[in-house]
Amino acid sequence: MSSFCRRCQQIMIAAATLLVAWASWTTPLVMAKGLPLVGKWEVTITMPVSPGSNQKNSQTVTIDVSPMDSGSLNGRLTVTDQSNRTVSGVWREVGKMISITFEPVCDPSQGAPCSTLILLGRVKGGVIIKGQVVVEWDRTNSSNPSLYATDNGKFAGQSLD
Amino acid sequence: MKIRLLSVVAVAVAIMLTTAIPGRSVRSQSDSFTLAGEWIVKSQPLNGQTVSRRGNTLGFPDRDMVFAQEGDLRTGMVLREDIGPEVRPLGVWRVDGNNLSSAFELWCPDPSTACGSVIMRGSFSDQNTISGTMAVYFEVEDDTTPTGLDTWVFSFTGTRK
Repeated sequence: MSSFCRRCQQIMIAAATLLVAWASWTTPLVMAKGLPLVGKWEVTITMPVSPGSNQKNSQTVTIDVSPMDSGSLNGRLTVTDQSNRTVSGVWREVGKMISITFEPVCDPSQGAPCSTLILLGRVKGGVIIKGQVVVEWDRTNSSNPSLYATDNGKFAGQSLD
Repeated sequence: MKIRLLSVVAVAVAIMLTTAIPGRSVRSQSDSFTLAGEWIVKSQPLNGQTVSRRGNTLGFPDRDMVFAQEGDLRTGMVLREDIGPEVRPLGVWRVDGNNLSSAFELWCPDPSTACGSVIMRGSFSDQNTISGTMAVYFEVEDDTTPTGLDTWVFSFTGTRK
């Protein structure tokens, strides 16, 4: 009986050792990844071509999300469009909810006013992001609560890492 | 004597023409405005609205805002030392002529309170003075607004520090 318990003890110690070894092997990998949004994403943004327009345009951009500085609740990122033009952006993440804000390159030749974008959405499975786009145009609109024309769009993206 | 008089008149006409060409005037103005630097931005309610329709607010603290530019990357930061030395919401900006736009993510340590994003729209009165409005898009549903988000607007004036 006592030899059986000793054997049980040995098995339990071996199992615990294996568990600790496995945890110490996997934990740094998980921690190194940090918040799920950190990394490169290919994101397609669909939004009206101009304020209030029913015509929509889809543009694919690459978003490179940098880790937040220690203690920060906001992070920086870059957004590169298909013409290889890059602008700055900022982001935050609470749980699975993400918010990305940036000022896209303004192209007056397209006939639409400049705009600011807010991407609100979720990270799904660590490899997909999708959600709503809020567009605030550089066009005043006194009847809009923001005092500027706004539109809604959508975005979807996948991890490039 | 006549030649000297003609020369003076020619120079005077040249100066008048140079300064009277609107395109040139606008160009030199747009080139001169930048947000880069440190600003003290004061805010106040617009039309007496101290909170949003859903009761959310940022209050009206003076904001110490620092903007920087590195190539095409334009970044911003609010130094909220009144709350804590590490509280530094991040943002981005652009300037078009004498108009400015900037966007920030809010700093949300408490998941139970409404978070959101801020978009500044305004203009330069001169190189050291800005004014305009800030629209806060809280991540709280409001089906009365075009974006579907609770939206609150207040006015601001800023002076270069």
